[in-house]
Amino acid sequence: MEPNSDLFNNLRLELRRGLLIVAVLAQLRREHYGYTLRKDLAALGIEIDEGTLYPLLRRLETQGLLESEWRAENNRKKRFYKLSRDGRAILKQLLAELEKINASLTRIL
Amino acid sequence: MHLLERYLTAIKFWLPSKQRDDIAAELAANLQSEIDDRASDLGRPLTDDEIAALLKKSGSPILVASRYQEEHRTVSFGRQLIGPILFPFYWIAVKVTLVLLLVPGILPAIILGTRTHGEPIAQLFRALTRVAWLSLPVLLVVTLIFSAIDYGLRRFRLLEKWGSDWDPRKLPTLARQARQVRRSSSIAGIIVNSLFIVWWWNHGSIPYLVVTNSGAQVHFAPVLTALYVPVLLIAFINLAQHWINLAEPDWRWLPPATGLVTSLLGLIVLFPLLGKSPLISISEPNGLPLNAREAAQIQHLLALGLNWLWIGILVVGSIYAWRLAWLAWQTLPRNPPGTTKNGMAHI
Repeated sequence: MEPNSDLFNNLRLELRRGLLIVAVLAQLRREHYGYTLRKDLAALGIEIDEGTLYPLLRRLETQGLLESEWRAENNRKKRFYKLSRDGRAILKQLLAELEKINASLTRIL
Repeated sequence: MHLLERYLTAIKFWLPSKQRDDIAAELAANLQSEIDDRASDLGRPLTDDEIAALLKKSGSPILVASRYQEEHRTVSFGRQLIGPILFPFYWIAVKVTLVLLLVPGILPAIILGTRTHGEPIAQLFRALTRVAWLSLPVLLVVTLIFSAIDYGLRRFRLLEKWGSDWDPRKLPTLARQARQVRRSSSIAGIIVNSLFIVWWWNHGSIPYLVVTNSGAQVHFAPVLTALYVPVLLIAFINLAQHWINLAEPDWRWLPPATGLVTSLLGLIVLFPLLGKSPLISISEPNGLPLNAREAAQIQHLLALGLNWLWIGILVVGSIYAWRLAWLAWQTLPRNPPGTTKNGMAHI
């Protein structure tokens, strides 16, 4: 089976979905607006399509994990996001879970 | 920057109304930052082609807006049948179906039952039972149709395919987008007319208007059942108009033109029935016949209803004619202010 088959792509998407949320939450320990967050994540090796990231930020805010604020920067109004208190607690739990899975996988592999 | 504005206006069209402006403002800020960033890297402003390429990468307006849908309700039976993208349209279809079944199924029972028998509760209960039995298969068909559309969208990745075949430079200008026939109105029209056609196809010759306590059934007279084909024709004309406007939202003249034609058709078809008698026929399969006074009351109510319907259509037709004339007047070529008929400037 070719590595770029539909099946591989679907599995890859599933694998990435949860991890992207962890990456976004972790990166938002420091305040960002959508575009700079995407750029910073890309520079760190995590490419996220804008069509995935921007709606994800709103969803995480609705879930109470992020808080946002409209503010002017360079004479342009932008929506800045940062991790909320609940978000910090959840991120801590997620990172612990990720570490456990990673350790288990390392043992398996 | 016009291209970005046109793009954002097109996205706003598909966004949920409560958050439309907020989402569009955030998208604008992010896209603008990306444009500024690229311009700063290149040391010059971006060309229209470069902005178009950036917007194309961002996704077609409908695809971008679909990602912001807050609708999480779905219809599932073991597996998901109707997803969150189609659910709002499905929900409209369910409500329209219920209105189409409830109004003609219950209203005559309430009005005629109250006026002629004095037992509206019993009439209403009978009508509700009848409507409930009728609703189940119709709602099942509506659900199956939407499930099939949803399956097609997911199986063939239609949204993604439509998203890759679009060109930001072909987005209509802001002025044109503001004047277009709204797609939501075309989609709503398609749903309403399709459901009405399905309903009328099966129940055009409404089985009976009301069942009296004595068991007598009040039917429309054959003269009224002759309306079956013309009403079907009018519904098909309306359906065609909504489909055409979905594809050609710039044809603003089409809705009033169709409205005028269908109103004229309605007036012509109904005119011979005004003042005609009888408009109802009564059968008493198991019970006692209606007395003459009750029959006359129903006949009178129906005749009155027809007269008002005819006047209503006349008023609606006149409004359509006026709108059409106004559109024609707006598109007439005019001399610029300060010039005479032959183009000479006033001094």
